[in-house]
Amino acid sequence: MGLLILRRGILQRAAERRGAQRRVLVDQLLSGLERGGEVGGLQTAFGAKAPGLVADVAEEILALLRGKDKTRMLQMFRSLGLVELQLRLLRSRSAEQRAKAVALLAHFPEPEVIENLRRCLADADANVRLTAAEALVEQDVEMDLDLLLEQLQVGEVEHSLRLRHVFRRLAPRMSQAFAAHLRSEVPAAVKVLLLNALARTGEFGLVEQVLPCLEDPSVNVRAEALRCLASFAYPVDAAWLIRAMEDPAWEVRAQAALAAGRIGLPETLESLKRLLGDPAWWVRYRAAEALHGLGVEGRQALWWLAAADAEGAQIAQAVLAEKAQPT
Amino acid sequence: MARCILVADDDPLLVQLVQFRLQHRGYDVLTAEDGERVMQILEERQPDLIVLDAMMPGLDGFEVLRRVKADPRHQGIPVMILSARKKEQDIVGALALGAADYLVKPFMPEELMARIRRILGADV
Repeated sequence: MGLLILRRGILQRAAERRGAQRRVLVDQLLSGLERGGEVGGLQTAFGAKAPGLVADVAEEILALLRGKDKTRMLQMFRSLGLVELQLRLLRSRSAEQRAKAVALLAHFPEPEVIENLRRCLADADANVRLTAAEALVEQDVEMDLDLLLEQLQVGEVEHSLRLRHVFRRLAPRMSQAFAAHLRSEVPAAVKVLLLNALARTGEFGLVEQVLPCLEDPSVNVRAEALRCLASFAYPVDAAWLIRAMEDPAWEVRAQAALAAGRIGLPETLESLKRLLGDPAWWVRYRAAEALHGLGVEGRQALWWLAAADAEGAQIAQAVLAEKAQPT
Repeated sequence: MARCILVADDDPLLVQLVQFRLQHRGYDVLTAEDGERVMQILEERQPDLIVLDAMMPGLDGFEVLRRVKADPRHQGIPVMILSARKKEQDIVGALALGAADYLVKPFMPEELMARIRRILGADV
């Protein structure tokens, strides 16, 4: 018991000491910033004694700054030897330590750092690889798509939001490479990830390359392709969407209805009306929403259905009520 | 007499950063780590400006702003919201509640100083 109390006391004192050191360090960094980025005596006071503390503070302070101040602060951290230290930490046995170093190095665009970050894409730890990809994307570094897909094991692991974010950031400058992969023999999970990223680019010129995915054997790919088309909101041959509205998978039919509404294709009106009687609630809901978005003709169809004792009356009433339209 | 600014944020590093800058520009600075503390300080002091983080534990920045603007003793104090939330509805919502300004994090400290000077109409 006594030992536990003693241990707690020691830990508390260490935390207090670290807190005080941290406060002094931040004050000195801010003073240096005021003086235009001077490091002064900081190097001897902190550079060697508490490298971990400098790294922790650097990560937090860099997240708070922008513009000229951030550039100056980066220069100060360089002068404190932070980059060299983090490069050394990339060889640490601890994956957590390596990931932390990679995240901090993401702020430094020097060629040596980029080269090391590229190497981290082959790290044994998945989190380090993903953090390295995030860092490289942040630095706008050109990357080989095939290699990246392989190193991040896309298609073998569950797609995290972080992984999706990496590909969304890459998509605007690699849209053609992404689109080319949609035609190749890659796993469905890869196609889903690429379509998801392409949807955010708004590059409607890619519509023709996305359309063949509507015939993919994977339900997920077909549904994601429709989400992508809905996001482009660019007119396509209505026959594609009408066919998708007859897909055996309800997820695909629901997305087809959504896309028809977002794109605003009046040719899909009859098919959408039929979907109001679909066994899946989401399909009926998306179809009613799409009809509402198709202008007067679509809304008239909804009003008629809502008033009649017909199939789809309930969902038509619900969507009209949601859109605050009298029935 | 130096103008007094109350800075409230649950991130001690951000508070230290803003406090440092403001003190170097000659302002008096009060700090608070949450909304409750802001309301306590207002019972004792009347700052010239409140710089308020939108996302704080307990009373968040929007709630503090609402209370400040609803209290005749404090409603004249300009409030600047600092927030990582950059959605239109957050910004418009804060301005509609009576915020004098809204700055998205991460921000450029000099931009914050310029906005503060503009709100206070002072050349400190």
